[in-house]
Amino acid sequence: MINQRNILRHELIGLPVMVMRASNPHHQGISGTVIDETRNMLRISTASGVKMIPKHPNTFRFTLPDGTMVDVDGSALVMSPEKRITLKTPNY
Amino acid sequence: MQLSMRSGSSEIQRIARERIRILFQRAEDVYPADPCLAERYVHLARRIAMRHRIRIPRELKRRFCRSCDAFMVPGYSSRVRVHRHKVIITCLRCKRQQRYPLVRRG
Repeated sequence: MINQRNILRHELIGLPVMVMRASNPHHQGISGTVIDETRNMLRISTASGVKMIPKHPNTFRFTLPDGTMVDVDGSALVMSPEKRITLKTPNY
Repeated sequence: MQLSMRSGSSEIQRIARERIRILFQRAEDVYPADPCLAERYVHLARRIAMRHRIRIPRELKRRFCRSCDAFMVPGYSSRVRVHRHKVIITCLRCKRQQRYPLVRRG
């Protein structure tokens, strides 16, 4: 299942996430659950509504189903969800 | 050759299968609150299946409409009837009907 090594290629929808570093300071610290994914954006359901956060310059902290936390550079995720599976080198 | 191709991409295919199952699970969880989002998850799962040439497992194949991608819950968004030795599943959104033969085994 989802682990640190295959997070880049696995399903992000449903994972708890927190925006660690963001180019837009207002996005920093947003946390919630990923409810949708496009090529460039993550749609995150938070306590204060649904937010669309760009993947590219931001860093996300995902909590995997087994409880471990992984920091992921969002730039590595810029790809349509079904195409991410073919990513070659997992960096995490 | 077919076999070697398959074993070469087994990691990709394994992840693809897991993701399809996860997406259908999420679709089922989210359906009562937001049927549109469930439809989006079905769409994503089907895109994964098509791109990586994975079959959607039979029990999941009957949970969505092949024509409009709607997640089907019998009684709410689909009608299940048995007629002339076939199971007929109707999508209540686009009225598409899918027929499955009903055969006695053994």
